[in-house]
Amino acid sequence: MRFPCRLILKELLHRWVGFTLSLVAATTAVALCVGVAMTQAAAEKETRRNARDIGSNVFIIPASCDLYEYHQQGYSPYAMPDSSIDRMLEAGKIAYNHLIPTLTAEIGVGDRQARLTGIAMARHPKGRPSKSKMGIVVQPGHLHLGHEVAALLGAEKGEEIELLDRRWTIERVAPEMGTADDITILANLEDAQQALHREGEISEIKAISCVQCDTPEDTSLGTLRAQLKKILPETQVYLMKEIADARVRQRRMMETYSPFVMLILILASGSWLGVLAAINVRERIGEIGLLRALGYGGGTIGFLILGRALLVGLLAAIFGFAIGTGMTLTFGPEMFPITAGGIRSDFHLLAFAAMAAPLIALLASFIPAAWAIGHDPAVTLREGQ
Amino acid sequence: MVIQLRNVTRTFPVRHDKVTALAEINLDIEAGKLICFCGPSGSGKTTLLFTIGGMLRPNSGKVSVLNRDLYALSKSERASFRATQIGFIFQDFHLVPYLTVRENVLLPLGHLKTSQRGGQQDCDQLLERLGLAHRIHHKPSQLSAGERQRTAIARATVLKPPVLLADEPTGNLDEHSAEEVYRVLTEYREQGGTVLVVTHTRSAWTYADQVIQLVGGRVQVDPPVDSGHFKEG
Repeated sequence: MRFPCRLILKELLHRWVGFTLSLVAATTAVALCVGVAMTQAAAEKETRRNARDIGSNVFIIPASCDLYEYHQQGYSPYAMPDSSIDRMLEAGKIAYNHLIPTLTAEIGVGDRQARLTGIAMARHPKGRPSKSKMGIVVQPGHLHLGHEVAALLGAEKGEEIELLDRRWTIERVAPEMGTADDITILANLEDAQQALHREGEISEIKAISCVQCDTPEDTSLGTLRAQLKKILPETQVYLMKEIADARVRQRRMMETYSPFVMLILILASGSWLGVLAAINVRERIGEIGLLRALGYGGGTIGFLILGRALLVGLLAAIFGFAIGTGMTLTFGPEMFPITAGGIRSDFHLLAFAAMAAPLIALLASFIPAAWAIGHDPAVTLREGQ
Repeated sequence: MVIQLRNVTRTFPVRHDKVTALAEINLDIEAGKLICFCGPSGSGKTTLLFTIGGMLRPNSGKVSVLNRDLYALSKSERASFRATQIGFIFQDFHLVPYLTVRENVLLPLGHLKTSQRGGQQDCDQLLERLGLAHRIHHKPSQLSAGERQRTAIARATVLKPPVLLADEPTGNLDEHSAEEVYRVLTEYREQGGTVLVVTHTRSAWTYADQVIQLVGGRVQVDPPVDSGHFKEG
C-alpha cells in the first residue's frame, strides 16, 4: 500500500496544475458551504427579528367587543382587567409571544379628536424568554406624538405640554406614517390608566403568533384560539393574516435558501471535479496501460485514481473549513449586524466536511476510475503512443 | 517450446465491418531465441505481440507461454503471470514521467509481495551495466532517447522474465542508440531469455535467429531479405 500511496503523491506533484485546480474547486465549495451553515443560524435570528419588526399580527380583545366596532373605531372600546396578561404569561409555552398590553381611548386635543394609547413593554410567556426588546417603550411622564398631533399642537421633542390635566414631556415626535399612528399619542400604560381614570384596565393585548406552531393539521390561529379559550375565556383573538403570511413567507424562504445554495455548490464543484478527474485519467492513459502491462490489477489502478480524489477531498475539507470560518467571522457581522454575536465557528462543520468532501470527490471520480480500470491495456498502450 | 500459438485469430470491429488482424496464426518459438517480426503497417505485428503478452484476448485459438494457456487464466492470474514472466519494451518507452530512472526500473516490483521481490538488489547493477548508473536520480525528461529506452529495457528485465517482448524498440532512436539496444537484447538472449521484437528496421534482422513476416495477419517465416513481399511501412 505504501508504494501506490507514493505514486499518488508523486503524480500530484508532477501534475500540480490539475491537482491545484481540483483543490481550489473543492476548497471553494467547502468554504462557501461552511459560510452558509455558519450564517444560517444568524440569518434565522435576523429573519425572526425582521419578521418581528413587521409588527404584531395578533390582537386579543374582550369577548364583548364586536369586530365591526373594533375596525370602525380602530381600537376596542371595551376593557378587560390588566391581570389578563399575567394569566397568559403564567400559562407557559403558548402559541404567541411578545405580549404587549394597551389601553386606548379617544381624547380631545385642541378642537380635534386624537387617540391616546397607553402601552407597556413586551412581555414573554414562561418558558419562552427573549433577550430582544420589542415594542415601544414610553417613559413615565413622557409622550410620543403622532405626526399630525404634533403639528396640531405645534409641539416638538423635548417640550412640555398639558393634556388631560397633567404635564407631559414630549419624548418623541414620529415621522409621517400615513396611518392612524399619525393621530395617535403614546403614553406609558400606567400613566394612561391614571389619566383616563381607568386604573387596572386594558383594552387590547397585541402579540406575535408563533410561526413554528403551524402544523399540517392546524394553523397557529386555531392553536391560539384553543389555548386562549382555556386561559382567558372572556376574550377573543384575531390574526392579521397579511402580516402573519409575510412572516411565514420570510421564514420559509430562509429555511429553503440554505439547503438550496449548498446543493448548488455541491453539484457545481462535484461536476468540475469529475471533469478534472476525467482529464487526469485521459492524460495518464499510457501510464495506466503500462501499469496493467506490468501486472498491476484493476484495484491498484482504481486506488491510484480514487486515492488522489480522497486526498483532494480531505485537504479541501481542512482548507475550506479554515477559509470559510475565517471569512465568515470577518465579514459575517457586516451582513448580519443585529445578530453578529450569533456567528461562531463550529467544529462540527469540520467533521462533516471531512466526511462529505472526500465522499463527493470520490463520487465525482468514480466514472473516470471505472473507465480506466475497464479499459483494455493493449488499447490504452496504443492510444498512449 | 516456450511460446506456442494454435489457430489464433483476432479481429477488430470497424463500424459495420471487421478487420482481421491475425488470421489463424500457428507459431512455435523455442527458448533462448531472438525473433524479429516484420511486415507492412497494419499487418498485425503489434497485435500478435500483445496477444502473446496476455494483453489482447484472441477471438479464437490458443496461446501458450511457458506451458500456461494464457487465456484460460483469470484476469488476475494472467496479470500476475505477466508481472513475473513477461517483460515489455515499447517504442515510446512509456516511462512514468514523475518517477526517477531507478523508480521506473523498480516499478514492476511495486505491487509484488516481498517474497517475490528478488530483483531489487540487482537494479543498481543492471543500471550500471546499461550505462545509467549516473542517471538513477534523473527523471525521463532529463534523459536522451537512447537513455530512456535503456531505462525501459532495464525495467522490462529487472525481474529477469523468461520472455521479453519489444514493440519497435528502436523506432525513435538514432542508429548508434539502436545498435546499443540490440546489443542489450542479444545479451539477454544469450543469458537464456526469449526475445520477440517487432521492427521495421532491416538491420535488426542481423541480430535475429529467425525473421517472421506478417502480411494481412498471416505468418511467413524467414522471408528472403530482398523479397518484394516486404515493404517498409
